[in-house]
Amino acid sequence: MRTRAGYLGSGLALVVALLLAACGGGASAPRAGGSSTAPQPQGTETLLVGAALPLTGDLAREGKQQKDGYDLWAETVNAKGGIEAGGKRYLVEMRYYDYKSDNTQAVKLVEKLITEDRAQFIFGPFGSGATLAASAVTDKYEIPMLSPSASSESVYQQGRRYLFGLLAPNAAVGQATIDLLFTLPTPPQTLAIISRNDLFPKAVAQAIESAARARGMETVYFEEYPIGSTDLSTPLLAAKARNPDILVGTGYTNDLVLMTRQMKELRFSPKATVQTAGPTYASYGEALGADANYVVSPTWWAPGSPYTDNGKLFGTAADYARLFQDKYKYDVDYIAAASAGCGAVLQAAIEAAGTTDPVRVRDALARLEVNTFYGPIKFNENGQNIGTGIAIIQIQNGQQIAVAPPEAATGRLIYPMPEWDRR
Amino acid sequence: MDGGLLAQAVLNGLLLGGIYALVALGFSLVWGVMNVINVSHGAFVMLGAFTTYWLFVRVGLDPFLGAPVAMALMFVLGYLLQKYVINLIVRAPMFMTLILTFGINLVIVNLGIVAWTGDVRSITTGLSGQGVVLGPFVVPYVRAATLLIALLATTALFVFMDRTRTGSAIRATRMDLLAAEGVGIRIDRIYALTFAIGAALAGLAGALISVTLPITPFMGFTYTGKAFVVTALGGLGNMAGALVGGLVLGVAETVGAALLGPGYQDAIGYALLVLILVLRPSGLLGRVGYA
Repeated sequence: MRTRAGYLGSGLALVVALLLAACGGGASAPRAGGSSTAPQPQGTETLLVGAALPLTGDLAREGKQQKDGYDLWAETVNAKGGIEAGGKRYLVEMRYYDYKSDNTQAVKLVEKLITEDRAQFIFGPFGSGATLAASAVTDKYEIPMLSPSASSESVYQQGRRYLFGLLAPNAAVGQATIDLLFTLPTPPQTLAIISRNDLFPKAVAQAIESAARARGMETVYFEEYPIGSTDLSTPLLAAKARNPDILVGTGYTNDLVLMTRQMKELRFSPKATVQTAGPTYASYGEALGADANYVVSPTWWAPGSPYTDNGKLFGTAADYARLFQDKYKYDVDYIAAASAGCGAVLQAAIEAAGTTDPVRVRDALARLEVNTFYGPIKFNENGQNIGTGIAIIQIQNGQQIAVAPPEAATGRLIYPMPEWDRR
Repeated sequence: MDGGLLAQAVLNGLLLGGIYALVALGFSLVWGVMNVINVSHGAFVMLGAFTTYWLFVRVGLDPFLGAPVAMALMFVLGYLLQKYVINLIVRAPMFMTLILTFGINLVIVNLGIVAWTGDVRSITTGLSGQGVVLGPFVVPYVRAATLLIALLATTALFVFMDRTRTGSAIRATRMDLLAAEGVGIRIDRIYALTFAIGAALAGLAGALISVTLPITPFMGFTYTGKAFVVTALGGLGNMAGALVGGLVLGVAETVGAALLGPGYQDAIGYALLVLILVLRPSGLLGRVGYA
């Protein structure tokens, strides 16, 4: 008969073995981005750019998008001979650590990238929370950090000198959404808002509410639901009872899929449903099928956006979308675009500074005005990009149709949307 | 809050509670019989959901027909996992089983992310979102069917435990391990069978969730949490308790959200848990000392 210690020992050994097996199958830290390290021709130097990303855990999908965007930039720029500055050529090497969707780990790993790996520049982790936390470290070491996924103004209002974000402020999202609704012959008068109780969804909800108030619209219902909700019927019913013209729902894809599904179950048909951030992801449309139709969503970037870098790197927004789709076999969205955009911006700043010295590149970033496939870039005094406008899409017949801004629109907004019973 | 809204909230709570009850049924069984708090229960729910999802997407099998397949697969997986892995430490202190099942949960979830990415998915059939309108109420078909299946599964498990020799053996094992061994019951087989039934029920719950709610590889942990609350509410290892506990939790969440605001939804569930633990530690339908 085996002793208890024997049982315990084999159990523990098993856990360890299983965990190792799990790590081996997925992304594990530390790991260097091997694919972007090209063989070095004579007379070139290596530029090391580091990023801590959530490659496993709840945010694994978002982390992968950012990594794919960063990698695509590094590969593209290396294939074109690297970055030229001050008479030298630099080939880019990316180095990643997995912070396992745990923001406190992100901060430690960014510090490790700077102090141990000697990363010269940092690309952001996912989301406003992790970016805000990591920006304390990058400021401490005076290393510029470019973020493709933090849009909340509060992140940039902490007086950080070395943080630059490509996403336009949330206020611009609210403004663009309400502006679009007011181009209609009979603009809506009332709105109801159901927001996930989370930093970014709440910030967007408040931005839309204040833009609506400025236009004289009345918010008849504003409620927050907890993270991880499995049922939204109660706030939806309460909103339905107030009969708003517009329903605004903020959260992430799983929340918004649930919200749309339950709107149908409860026969809740406002004149328009505005949701962010979810409908721009292909998985939203795949999950809901025809029920996703008519949902409106503001987004920071769309493949149809009228932007180009004039052949310098990727070409137009559409060119980038095609390249990304060919390589990674899934549809690009604004985060993956902004991620490669971080690279394009860093490259422009290094070239403008004529050096890779972090402090001088930082000053070049602050002054930078450049056209990229992601959009025109110009940072405000807080380091947030105010050069690129907001695009708005509506799902029509399962396709994301750009309905704003006018110069990028590929279709017209369908308003009011048909009621559930008449589809 | 007007009456109509409140009544619809109660109705929605019952429909949501059906899912909670089904998730908790297998969890409560395993805990009650084996004294194992199976933290990986939610992972089986997830696997059941994805089995049904892929059968629907790849083969075109209706999710309600995919559910038995998911149950069968989870039964086999549960049996093997118990026999070859969990059985090694089943008589170790409860803390060890927590660590082991937590590890199994991590492995399954991360393998799921590697295999299927973290994308949100959902099954949309012709029936999705459709429902019957009864006066001021809307009853979605799919959710009503889920509640019905939860009732049927509870009844079936009850009959199995009460009327069959194997069921009696499981109950005997729960009541007195040594005496059960003494009368010739093969404990390891009973344990493997119990765990397999628990996993199959989790698979069924996952299959039904995939038709009503969005699914991701990391969806499971929420349901493990709910199952824990429901089991404590209803009474450990008690089938009717899981059903009652599930319905009570569902209604408490939706009605609480209607009265106090959705922000309190989760707080209400856990407040209920604390209340029950203080006032009736053996659960609503539990018998003292029976667990």
